[in-house]
Amino acid sequence: MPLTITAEDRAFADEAGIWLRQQLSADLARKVRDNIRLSRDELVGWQQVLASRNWYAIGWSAEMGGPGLSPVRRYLFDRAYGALPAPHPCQFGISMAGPVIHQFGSAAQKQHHLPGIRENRVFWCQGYSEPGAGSDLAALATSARRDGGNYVVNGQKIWTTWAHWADWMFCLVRTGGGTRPQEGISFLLIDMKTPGISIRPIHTLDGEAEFNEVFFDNVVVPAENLVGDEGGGWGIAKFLLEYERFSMSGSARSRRILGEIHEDVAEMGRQDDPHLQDRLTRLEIELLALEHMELALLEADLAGASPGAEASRLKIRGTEIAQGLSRLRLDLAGRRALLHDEDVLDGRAAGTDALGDSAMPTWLNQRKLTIWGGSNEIQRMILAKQVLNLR
Amino acid sequence: MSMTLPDADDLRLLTDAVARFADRNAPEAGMPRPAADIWPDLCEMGLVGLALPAETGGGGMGPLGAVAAGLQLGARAVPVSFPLAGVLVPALLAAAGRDDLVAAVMTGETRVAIASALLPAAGSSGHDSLAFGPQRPDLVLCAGSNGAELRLCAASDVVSATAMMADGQPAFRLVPTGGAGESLSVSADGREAALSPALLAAAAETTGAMESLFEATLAYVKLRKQFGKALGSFQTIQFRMVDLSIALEEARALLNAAAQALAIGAPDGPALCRAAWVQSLWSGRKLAEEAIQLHGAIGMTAECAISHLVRRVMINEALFGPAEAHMAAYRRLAA
Repeated sequence: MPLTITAEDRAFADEAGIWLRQQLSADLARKVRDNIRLSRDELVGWQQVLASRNWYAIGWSAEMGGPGLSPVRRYLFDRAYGALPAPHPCQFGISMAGPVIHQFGSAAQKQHHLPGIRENRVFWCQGYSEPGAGSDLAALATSARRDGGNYVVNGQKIWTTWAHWADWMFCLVRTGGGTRPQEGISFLLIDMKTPGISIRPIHTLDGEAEFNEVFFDNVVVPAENLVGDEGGGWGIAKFLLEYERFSMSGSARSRRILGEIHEDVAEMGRQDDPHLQDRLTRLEIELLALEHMELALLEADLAGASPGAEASRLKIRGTEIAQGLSRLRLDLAGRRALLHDEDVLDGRAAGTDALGDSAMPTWLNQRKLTIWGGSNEIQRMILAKQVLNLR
Repeated sequence: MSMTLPDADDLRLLTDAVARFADRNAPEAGMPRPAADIWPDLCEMGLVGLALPAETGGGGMGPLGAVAAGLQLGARAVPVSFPLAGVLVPALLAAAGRDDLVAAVMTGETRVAIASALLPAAGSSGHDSLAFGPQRPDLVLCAGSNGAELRLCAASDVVSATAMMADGQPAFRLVPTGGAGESLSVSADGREAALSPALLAAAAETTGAMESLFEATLAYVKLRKQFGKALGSFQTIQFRMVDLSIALEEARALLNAAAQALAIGAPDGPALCRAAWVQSLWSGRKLAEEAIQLHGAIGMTAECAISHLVRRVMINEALFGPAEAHMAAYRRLAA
């Protein structure tokens, strides 16, 4: 059953696109287009632009204080947004901590945290993975021992995106109890300024340092920072897995990248190269299939069919297509992709060749797409078990 | 090209010596940074001009020697310009009849870099004005005004700046030669004959890196436990490792066949060299991508040993040109 898109819906999306384009400075657009690493100020500054229209927490209901967009308008907004070379807003607060606190938190927690998230005043990070707990997250061992009115946290998180920028962390910790490992996990909010927390950056093979190790050495966290019940953390994590599942495809961004690659090809005068055109068309058709899978799931959801695990297909194909695009760009760049200059990548020096400067680091960096967010192997496990009933 | 093959013992000695050299000069874990200048050591090992016939003053080890050395250098991702400055440059200089220069290059007395315009698929990505070779070159071998002409220019005349590649090796930005330098003449056949062992050396480096990537990944999936068991005990992982082992074997087999054919002067030698290069591209991609994916997040880190190996595979891919160019050459050569 196709989506009903009204004239008003389209007008909303058109106006949003125009406004966003006007707000996006040429400098910031160039940096995003050229894959230059953004500073905290640049990212948060852009988020502030969105927050000024209450569009940072774009998915929040009116009840949560958000814009309360219909699913159709949310979908159209995401497509309009993805077409721009605008920074991808940090999701940890708006798409994770916020919805969890709204769904499971106490009145005090909602009051304390939700406005700051919505208004882009508080930067969040996600404390999930550990060296021994990646795909097998239930094996996590960071402990939170109850001591009077506090929890004392000890352990280590790893791959924590932007921990070095964050004010708060939402953290899965082991409070113990229960028979299965999942039953001993709790969801704790931790102020990153609490004594005992140390952060060590991790450089990825492209040179960027977005990920961190976070060490907890007898970190005292007020018991009021527990969200939900002790032992309820795994259920909250499952809620988050299902939340905003349909925005896992990255298809709008991929469409923008595909367009930019067409421009690169034209600039190089290689529009008539049949092999190149085949590769471009192939990716375009794959992207079309992804977009329509996404639309079909959204339509099914609106019709009340509640597809859940099927959305894992979007993550798998979306990430493979995004990697295919970075591969195409790398191949196109050829020898121009050989040079590596951290000053250019960090935005400290002007580059001389936008395509060549970032093609290799981007390809290297985007290998993370099929690993993070629930690796594509895990996504396949979910599909096999829950959709195909193969056990 | 000499018809005398190097003997098996000599190849074994060469392999061992280069393996030790590679161990000593393996890059440190971490971020890309300018590579140490180990060109004098490479010369001292006899690796520069290794593949050239002994009659023209070369090492006499031919394509088999180039492959043996390349495999070891690639296995540790040593950041040094062996296929280009160590194999292609001496071969082109010899083809141009400049044995005097060959000798000076082999001792390290004269450092010669080579312009990208002389490499496969020149200009296909737009501006192509870089040169590659040892740090602080004296001369740069550039393209001439037509296909048979090369120009040997003073680096001071044509190098405007030195940049860094992702593995720490230098890349030299060139300005147009403007007719400067000495004219050298090499026929199209001569250029192909010089390119063949260089492609094999590059394919060997990539294959050596692939071997290390494979071994590291195999060890990792046996060791790393999630869900209470080793990753390698999941059948899907086992099948993927098998596929990687096949990709590696395909590259190795074609590489060895091409080196053998070229060494004995078989008519299909040059075509096989192109095929071996293309196979190393395909297999190299698979190994690089899967090694990272199977390691999970740790495979993304600059500190992980596989990062240098991945960069070596990707850099060789970009340096020596895309599959399409080599497949077109293969069709031409195999016709």
